Amino acid sequence: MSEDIREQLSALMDGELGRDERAFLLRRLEHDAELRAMWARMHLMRDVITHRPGGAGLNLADRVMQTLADEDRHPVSGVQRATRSWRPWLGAAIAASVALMAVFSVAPEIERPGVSALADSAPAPRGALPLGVPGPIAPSLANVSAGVQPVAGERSSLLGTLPTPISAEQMLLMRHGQMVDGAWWVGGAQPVFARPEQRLLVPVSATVNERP
Amino acid sequence: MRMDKAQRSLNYDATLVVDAGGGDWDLLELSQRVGPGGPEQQWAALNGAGRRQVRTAQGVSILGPEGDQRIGQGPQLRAGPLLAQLDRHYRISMDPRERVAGRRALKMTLQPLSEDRYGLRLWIDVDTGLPLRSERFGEDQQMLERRMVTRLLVHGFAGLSPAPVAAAISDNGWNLPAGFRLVGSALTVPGITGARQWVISDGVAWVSIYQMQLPPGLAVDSNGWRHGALSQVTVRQGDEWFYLLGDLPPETLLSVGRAASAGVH
Repeated sequence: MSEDIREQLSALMDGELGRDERAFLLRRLEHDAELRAMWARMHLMRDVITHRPGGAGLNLADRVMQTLADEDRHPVSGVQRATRSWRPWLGAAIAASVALMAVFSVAPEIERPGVSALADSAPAPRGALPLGVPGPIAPSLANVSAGVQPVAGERSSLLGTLPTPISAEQMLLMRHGQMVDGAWWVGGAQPVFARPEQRLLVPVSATVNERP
Repeated sequence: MRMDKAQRSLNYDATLVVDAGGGDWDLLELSQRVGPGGPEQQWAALNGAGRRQVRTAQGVSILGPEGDQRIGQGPQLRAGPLLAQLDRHYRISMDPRERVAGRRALKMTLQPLSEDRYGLRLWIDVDTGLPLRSERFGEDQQMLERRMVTRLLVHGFAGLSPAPVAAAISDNGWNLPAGFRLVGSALTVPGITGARQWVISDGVAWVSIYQMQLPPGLAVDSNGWRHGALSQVTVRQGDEWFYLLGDLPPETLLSVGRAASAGVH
């Protein structure tokens, strides 16, 4: 059972899983007995820790399992204890999100009231942009919320109400991956995993004659 | 046909390793469950930033450290009838004596008959029809991208889910590489006002052609890029920008972009 699945179960228990993820995980629970067992065990653990009546019947084996599960967890902060979070990965996720905010803060700055979206339209250095986005496109996505919505999920809620900008290129990659077949051997099926630093630049763009 | 059945109705968990060149490997976990609305997939990266992608009939969600994004329901296309014409543009050979991830596999090689597209090798699980390994290669057998299942847990077939959008083969009047047809289009692209999208395919390679207008003074990066077998180029005609993305050589994408820009008004 991977850490990722445990994290998702925890998020499901906390009611913080996005809509699609929740639907998928519930589907997975239908088919996976091991996953259902873990789900039941996590409920039991929560009941014990929060002194819910359901936990009173814990036997010795359950308590051993609970102890082992607790030891598996990373140390948790006081804040997490206060919120009774089930995700020991939360701290790392926050740190990673905050660290990346600097890189992914292009769109919010562009959308500041009173500032022209086109004011700083000079191409940004490629290396400074998320996912290799052609910089000048980003300002055209000021109305990004029309078609692309942040998912109600762990990281979105952690970052408060700040709208998460999606780069134009990432959106185009997502859309391509959505339309072109879900087969894993088809290019673009998992576009998000392509990192810009892995890409090979090819000087092959073209400008054809303008129309009269 | 068996591959299509596996894709539409097989419940499975797999661990994949992906080599798209550049010396980096990606390790991914892929789970597919088939519900009433069709196959639902979850991709999770086991290295790097740990991003996840969930694909359902209702849309695609990407969850990562930079934020969670979702685009809603959109058409999903399949090559369909195009597959019947593959032998016109690829030399197809089979080798039934391969083994991948501890399972018997049929190796299928699609060697392109022209240099304007990449070749593809697929190792297909004999028991389920699910591809277990893929390789895309360019000229002189240059390896561009390799993907392989290292662990497969099959939970069995569900009932066949509803067929996805059939490839609507049509002739848009574009001068496309031999065997490529327009298989889909969308009048809107989420997040980009006024943009349109076309999808062409020869059954092996898939290309999205986005047409958009940018506000005055803006431009798209003059360079394209290639990552593994996936390439991107840009073609501009006046105020119209054509952003092409697909698993074709950049030079071929460029010719497609020129054809599209000449034929779209």
